[in-house]
Amino acid sequence: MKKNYLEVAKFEYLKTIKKKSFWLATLFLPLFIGVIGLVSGLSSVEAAKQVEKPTSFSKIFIYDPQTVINPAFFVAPYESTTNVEASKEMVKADKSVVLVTLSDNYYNDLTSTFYYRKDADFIGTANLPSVINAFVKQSAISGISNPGVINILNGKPTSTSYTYDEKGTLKKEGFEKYLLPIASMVVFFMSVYISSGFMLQSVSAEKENRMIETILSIVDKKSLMFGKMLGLMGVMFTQLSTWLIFGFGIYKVVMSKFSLPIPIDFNNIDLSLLPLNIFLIFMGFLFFAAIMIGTGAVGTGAEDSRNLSSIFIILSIFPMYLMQILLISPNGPLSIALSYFPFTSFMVLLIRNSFGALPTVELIIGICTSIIYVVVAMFLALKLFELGCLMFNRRPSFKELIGYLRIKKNIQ
Amino acid sequence: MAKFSIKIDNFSKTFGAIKAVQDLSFEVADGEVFAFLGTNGSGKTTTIRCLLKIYQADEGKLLINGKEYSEELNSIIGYLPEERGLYRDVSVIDILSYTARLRGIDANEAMKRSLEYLDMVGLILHKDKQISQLSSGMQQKVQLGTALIHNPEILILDEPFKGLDPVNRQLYVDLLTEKGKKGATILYSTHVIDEAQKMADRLLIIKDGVRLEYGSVNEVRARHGSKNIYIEFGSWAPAEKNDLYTAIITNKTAELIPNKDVTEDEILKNLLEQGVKLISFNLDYPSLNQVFIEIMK
Repeated sequence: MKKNYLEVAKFEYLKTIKKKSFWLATLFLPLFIGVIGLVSGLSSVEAAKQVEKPTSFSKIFIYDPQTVINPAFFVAPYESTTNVEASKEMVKADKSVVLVTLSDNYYNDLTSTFYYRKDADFIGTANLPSVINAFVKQSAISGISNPGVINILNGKPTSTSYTYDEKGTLKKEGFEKYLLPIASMVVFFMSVYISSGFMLQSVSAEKENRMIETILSIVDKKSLMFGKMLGLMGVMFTQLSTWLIFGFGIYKVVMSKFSLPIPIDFNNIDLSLLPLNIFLIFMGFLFFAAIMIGTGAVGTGAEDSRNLSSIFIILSIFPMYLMQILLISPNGPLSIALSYFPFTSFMVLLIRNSFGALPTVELIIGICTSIIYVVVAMFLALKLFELGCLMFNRRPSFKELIGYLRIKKNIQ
Repeated sequence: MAKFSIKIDNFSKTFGAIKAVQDLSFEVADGEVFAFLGTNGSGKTTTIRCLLKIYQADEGKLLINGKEYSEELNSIIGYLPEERGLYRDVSVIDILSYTARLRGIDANEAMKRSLEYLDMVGLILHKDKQISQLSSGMQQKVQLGTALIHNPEILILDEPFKGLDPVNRQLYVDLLTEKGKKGATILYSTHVIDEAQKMADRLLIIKDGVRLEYGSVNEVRARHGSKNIYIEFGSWAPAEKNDLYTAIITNKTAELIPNKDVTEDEILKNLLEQGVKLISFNLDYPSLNQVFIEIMK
């Protein structure tokens, strides 16, 4: 007879990819992230423009006792003042008027004071110190006759880094060193949170709609679990391939019209780190898929299972909050500790390996612990599945689980 | 000697401190319709689940065609669970063909059989609809289809009439009767005792996981009746007493009390030999429903 897990895998795969929600998530998630990024980028540019052009103020009086600012720069809305008190009265009368006083010793202390009404433009007043600094700086630069100095002060510096590898070979370093970690993290998040989410949905829905017993009368529990994992792995690859094809297409279209702001040399990506990353992503998927099977089986329904699974999701994303520490000190005690805590180990090892910070000994230990965690998670998931999948109106208690784990192989 | 499709020997199962089934033994012969009766929590579902290895038995042997259940037997077993339901967001045809493929039928044949079944139960126009779009009655028809699609030799049905409307109940009865006539072995648990009396060849009654009654429907009824025979006669009265019985005769009726180890067949033969013109010949057996209620008290 044909292996049933293959039928289960095929069914799970087709069931998921036939759903509109799957394609909405697959196609619109990157689009949504892109739109958010674009809006955020455009608003940053707009904000920068606002900083340069303080259009929200009708008049900005500047008291400048040392004549730091070149008088030629005073064009509306900027206006030089020598009468601070009179200017203050004008500020009191009009919320669009601002007074800036530079200190008597500005060349040394670079201190300025701002006066405006409480109901003045909130964002405009927040940006005002930067605006005045830029204004003063531009005035100062205008006094310099050497165009080279002006270029140094105004221009955007570029730099190139070279590194020596273990063999002493010189290699050009660039933005591409961040590509592998970023790509690995994206794939890891997808596999853990999206694909294992599908797993949770599949198991809990099967239990909730009572189809589980019909299926279990035909397929044994291991085959059902394995089939589901295989099917949802296929879903993950479909999602990845779709994103890759779209991403490549968009990259090609963009590159034909524009050039990248940061030059990327794809030949410079260290692919030797890739096999371990793929291994960790695969193991991470299996680990969290097993957890989702367990929580799906013991929950009383889809909602209950989702609530249960959120505990594990929170634990797994914990390293994200400590990312800065992990990057600054990838071989520090916290990084090492999190590398061997089951729920965080896959992500932390992935981050450390992506930046080439994983020593060989730890790499070997990491591979071993990952395999152990996956085997233990699978074993527990199977036991939870056996115990909970036909328990329809309640969760099995911890005592029941322990009792069940102690049961020896039955006499058949 | 009868060949047994299902044989359960000294089967026991406990859940923690609860003894769900204790030392249960019974056999279901090839081609037999066998009713498995008991109140809620009596151990029927546990027995069926252990038979199909959904649960693991603690002790005993549970055999189907002489073997423990394995995926190899999938192609000859149809199972309808008590806790039933279907994928809500999958089409009718996909569910039927999926369960057929899981039973080892190739994809084309699975599709063909699914369409045939849907045509038979009047759901062919709904084949592409999702289950959630069907009425409860239609869903029940699809559910039964998942158990029958591969034309199984052995049908195991846990409370098949539970939650059925009268129309679907009759459909289930007709389909199962048809399967029984074609030689399928049917083991079904039920609360609907009248249906069991009509359909079953033999039965088992359990209470708290312990066997209370086992045998043919009439054997079980006879064990709970007086064994007296009531007759109506048209010509002369039967003898008041002979080697087989003692009779209490009133006008054109008589109550015959059989002597020890005398069967109703022997008495009937004797009456006919006496030349008694029988209008009716009734055994004083309680209905199966009465037996069930009496046992469960």
